[in-house]
Amino acid sequence: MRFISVEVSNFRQYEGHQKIDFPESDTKNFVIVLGSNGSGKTNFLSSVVWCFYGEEGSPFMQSKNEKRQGILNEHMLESISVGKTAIVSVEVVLGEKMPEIILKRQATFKKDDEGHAIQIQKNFEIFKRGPGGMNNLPNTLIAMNNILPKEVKDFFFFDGEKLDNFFKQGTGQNIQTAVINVSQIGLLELTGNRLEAVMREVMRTSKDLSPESTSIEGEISAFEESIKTLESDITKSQKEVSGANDKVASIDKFLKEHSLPLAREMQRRRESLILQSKEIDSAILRLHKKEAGLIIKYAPLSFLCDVCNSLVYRIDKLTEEGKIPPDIKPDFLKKLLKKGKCICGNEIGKHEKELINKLYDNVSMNYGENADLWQEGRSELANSIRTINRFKEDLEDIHKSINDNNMKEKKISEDLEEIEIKLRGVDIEEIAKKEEERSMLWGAIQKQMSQLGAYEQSLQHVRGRKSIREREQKDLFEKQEKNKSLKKEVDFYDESIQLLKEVHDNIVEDVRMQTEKFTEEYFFSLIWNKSNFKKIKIDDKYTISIFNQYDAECLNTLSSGQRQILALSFMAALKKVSGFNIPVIIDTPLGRISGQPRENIAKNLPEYLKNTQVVMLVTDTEYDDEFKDKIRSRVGAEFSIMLDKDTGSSRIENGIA
Amino acid sequence: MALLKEKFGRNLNIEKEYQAEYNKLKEKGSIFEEFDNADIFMMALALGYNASRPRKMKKKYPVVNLKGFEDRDIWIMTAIAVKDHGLSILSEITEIKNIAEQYANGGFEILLKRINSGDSGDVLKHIEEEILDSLKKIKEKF
Repeated sequence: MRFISVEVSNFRQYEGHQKIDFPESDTKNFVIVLGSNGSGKTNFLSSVVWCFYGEEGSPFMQSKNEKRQGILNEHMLESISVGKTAIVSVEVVLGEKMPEIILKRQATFKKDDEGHAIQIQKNFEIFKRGPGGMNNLPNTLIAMNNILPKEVKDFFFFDGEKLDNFFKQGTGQNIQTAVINVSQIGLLELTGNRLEAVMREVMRTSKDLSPESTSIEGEISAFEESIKTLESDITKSQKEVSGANDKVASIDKFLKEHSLPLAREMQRRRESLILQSKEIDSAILRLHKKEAGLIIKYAPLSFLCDVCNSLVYRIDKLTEEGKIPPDIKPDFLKKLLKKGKCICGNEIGKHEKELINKLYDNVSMNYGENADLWQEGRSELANSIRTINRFKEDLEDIHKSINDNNMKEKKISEDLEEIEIKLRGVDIEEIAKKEEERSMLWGAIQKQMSQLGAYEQSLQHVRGRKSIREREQKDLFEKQEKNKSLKKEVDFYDESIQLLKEVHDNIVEDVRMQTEKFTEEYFFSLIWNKSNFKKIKIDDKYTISIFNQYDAECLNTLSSGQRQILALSFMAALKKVSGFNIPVIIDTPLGRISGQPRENIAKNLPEYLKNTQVVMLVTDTEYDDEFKDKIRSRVGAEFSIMLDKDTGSSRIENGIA
Repeated sequence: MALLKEKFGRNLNIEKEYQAEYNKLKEKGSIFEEFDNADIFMMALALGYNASRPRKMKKKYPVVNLKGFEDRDIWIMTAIAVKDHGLSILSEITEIKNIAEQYANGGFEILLKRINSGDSGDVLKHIEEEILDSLKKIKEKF
């Protein structure tokens, strides 16, 4: 499906009616909307998202203005009298040759005594083509879930510049959320939760709950409440971190591009130090993992050392007593009896058979049958016990390396502090102010990250404790004779819950693998220095890794342009895996990319998004002659956003001036 | 492959309802993040045996792949079985597996309680101290 038209009325910069009619073309699937910074490109993207979902936010397309305005055009608000109303509306028409789906969203605002716009009415309608023409769909929530669920919108409508942050921050959580959203398993989760609730209800309503059972039930309910609270705290915290990171990124950009050489130099130095710090963090993390590995591998052996020693002692005793190895192998005796012939070729007589049988019993009884096994066991255990003493030395080596890295980290922190002091002391007020703001934001991010870690840890604990209590509750329930008939019902729920969990995990795993496959495919079609990279991996912990030609992981050392290519590839992969047939809008797709990479994108982007209409909101520096030349054959239409500086309003015009 | 490991077959069982917990323990940030079911099983076995807490399974689930075990792990399981039932147990591999599974089942509950009462760093630190303590005792003994 493609956009047939988008009509925006009084939304932010767009005063009055502004309409884009998108031409139909199978091969020319790219649409360029050109606008200078601040002209309203991002607000055009926001208007489409608002029309779809009644909200604008997304981690990848927050407004570039720190001061957020209402959605009603300010000039329109000024021009109406107090008590009068104005309407904001956006209409999106989707289809191929003719309209298939029309989305219409409207909000009515009234100007209050203080001149503010107060929303007094809202309306959202979806029309879908049916046998008798366009039908108004009664349930817009269900309809939107079929058109494009909110959870996956970020892979269709996004800001290219913000994508960089996706892989800059701790990636595991972002990727896991993305994969889970694309998997569309909300219904499975909901069903699982419902079944759990029903199962507990059955156990709860079984007659005469014991006092112990009632008390456990109370605890489980309390755990459920805590889980809800913690999940909401985590989401809130993640949003705050993401928002603060965006702001820090924009201050960094400001400093890097400032005309004062000191600001540029300090910012570059800071970026290099942050990169070094990330590498040290990774090294420390690897060391902690090594330490955990050492502990986990040595623990069973050291806890069970006495038992192991005891077996070694017993095997040694058998050996001393001459019971193992036996003089004659039992297998040999078995074969003789089976063949009935001696090795000299003579038949074995009755008397000899009796003797051999006696010998076999004797050898077997004396552990000879398993002599090889006993010797293997002795050697394995004795060698392992000997290695136990290495634990302390190995552990001390790891601790020393962690300490060394911590010292390096401390030095970097001091250097970063020095940069901050220098920038805050600069005579130019704007720089000093921005740096002060950055410092506050940075502090808040660190605080929030540590809070987030604590929340996640608590969530893990509470979930674990809830599981234990649930099992105890089930054990109690099953022990009571009177619950025998209900047990079958509970078992059925239990089995169903387990089955749902397996299906859930299989789907997510499948989506993860497909996402990995397509991300790699797209990345290698877009990246310019292909031979520098070998493969991309999204592991089962949702950590994305990119390996260079020497098989070393290099995500942290990618340039911002390369990171953006990775993010674009990841987005395109998620879009493909999600299976929704909706056009893509990318704001500032080339913001961080220049030169050869830009040409590569121009050449390759249309290829891997060939069956999708792509609306690119670009500045004139992005849409330069070279890029234009490369992408021309795939561009179906060009539009310009013109900003009237006097009124602050924008209009959309056909073509590029 | 070592002789005894070959006789052990493909999998060991855990309690079916622990399957999700086993998976959770391998999630990012958990103490077994980079390990497999065999490592969790061995830790649970050690804790279960030391606490003398064998526990029969209600519903077995064969998800602990033998490939994940080192040869010494198989012999640690055997050493436990020999301690409880004598040397003749070596001819009954299924019984050795049963005994190990039951101790691991009892020990898994202990492991979960430990994990749910502190962060992963605390749990590991605690186990590290216990190992060092064991080593001290071993040294004193021999």
